[in-house]
Amino acid sequence: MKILIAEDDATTRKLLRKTVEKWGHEVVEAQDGAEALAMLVQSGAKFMIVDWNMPGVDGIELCRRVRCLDEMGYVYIVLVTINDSKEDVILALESGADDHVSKPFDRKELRARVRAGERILELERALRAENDGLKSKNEQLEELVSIDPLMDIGNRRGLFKAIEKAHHRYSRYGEEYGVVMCDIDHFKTYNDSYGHLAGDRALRAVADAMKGILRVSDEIFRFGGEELVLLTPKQEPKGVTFFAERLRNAVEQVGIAHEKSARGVLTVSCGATVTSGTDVSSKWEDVLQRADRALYLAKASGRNAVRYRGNEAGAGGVPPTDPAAARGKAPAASM
Amino acid sequence: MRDARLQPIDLAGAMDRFDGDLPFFLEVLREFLVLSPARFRSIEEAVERGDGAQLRTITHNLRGSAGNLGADALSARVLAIENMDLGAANREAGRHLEQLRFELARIEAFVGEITGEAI
Ligand SMILES: [Mg+2]
Repeated sequence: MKILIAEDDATTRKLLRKTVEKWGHEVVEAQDGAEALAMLVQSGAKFMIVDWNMPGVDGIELCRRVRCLDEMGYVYIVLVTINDSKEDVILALESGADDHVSKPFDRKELRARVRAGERILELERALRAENDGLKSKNEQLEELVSIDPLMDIGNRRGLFKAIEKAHHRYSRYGEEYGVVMCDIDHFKTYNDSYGHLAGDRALRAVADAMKGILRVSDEIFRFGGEELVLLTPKQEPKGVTFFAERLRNAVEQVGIAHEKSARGVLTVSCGATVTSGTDVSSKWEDVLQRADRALYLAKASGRNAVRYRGNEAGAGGVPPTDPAAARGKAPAASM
Repeated sequence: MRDARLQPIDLAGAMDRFDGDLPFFLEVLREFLVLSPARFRSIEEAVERGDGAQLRTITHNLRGSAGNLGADALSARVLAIENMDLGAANREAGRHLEQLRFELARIEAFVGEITGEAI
């Protein structure tokens, strides 16, 4: 290992160098504390043998300063001193020295102490590597816990993170975002008729159908059960309504048989909204709640429908696209 | 009287620190002999100036290297100076330095004995 020897006395420095080199270590020398500090950073040494009494920055001050360098990783310091009263040893350890050896030094003792320090540095290296590994695993886990494994899209947790970010960008930079909340129509009946495995396959198929029409900047999340939420950046009311209509249509076009639904296939109802006006000073929860309210209206209108609800009370933004209404069909009896 | 005095060099202790490497030990010891007169002068100057901190730095270093070389008698003399108050050190500076030079001469003689050569 590379050992930095800080010692102002030439005789002792020479002896220490030769002794440590005989043990197979590489030596870097400094004649005082200030030089030692510079050499430490320059050489990247992790082990120091430091003399207490040096002109200028002495051994004690050097220990303190080394402990303030946090980008260095751990540096093991053995303080060599002729001051070996109990108080001196305590002061040395409290200043940041890991160990101390008294002068004149005992070669066997110094060797044992160097080895002890080497073991600690090896442990520290191993721990650091393990820690780095854990950090990257944590990042992977963090990503995994934000994903819904069944639908292979973001989950509720992922949605909250994403919408919080989007809302921050809106409040701060005025970048609008649209929210579409979708709910699969009569899904409970579907599960009852076809079984839960078929229900799972249908959920996956709905998510896949929606993913098929997304732009790169759109995001899709499973909000829970058979509910999905989509975030789409920079949308006008008209744009987000059209986007929701395309989602609704994409699901209908898959044609998943559902005998007990009005259309004979699995469909979704969608509620859409975009940020505007007072949303700047309110919370993302309010925006999400508005999409939920629009979804309720879509359900109430007879399902397989899209409704838009803007921020201003009573302002619908744009006329809803409602194929069921357009076709003149009566709303279904239940929601 | 001679028997009561410490040997100029504790060779056994020094050899242990130098891992039995006599040539290296002698090399370092010769350097020490060359450097010492200037250090003694620095002690003298620090005492004259009444610079306690400087005096301590020099005596610490001198004791450190003398100790590592097994020059225990010299080390003891240096410690005696270090432990004195500056006034006493100033009054008796001449006598102390004479003693230091005396110990240094003994070490030189010791090296001569070992190597069988004059230095
Ligand atoms: Mg020193």
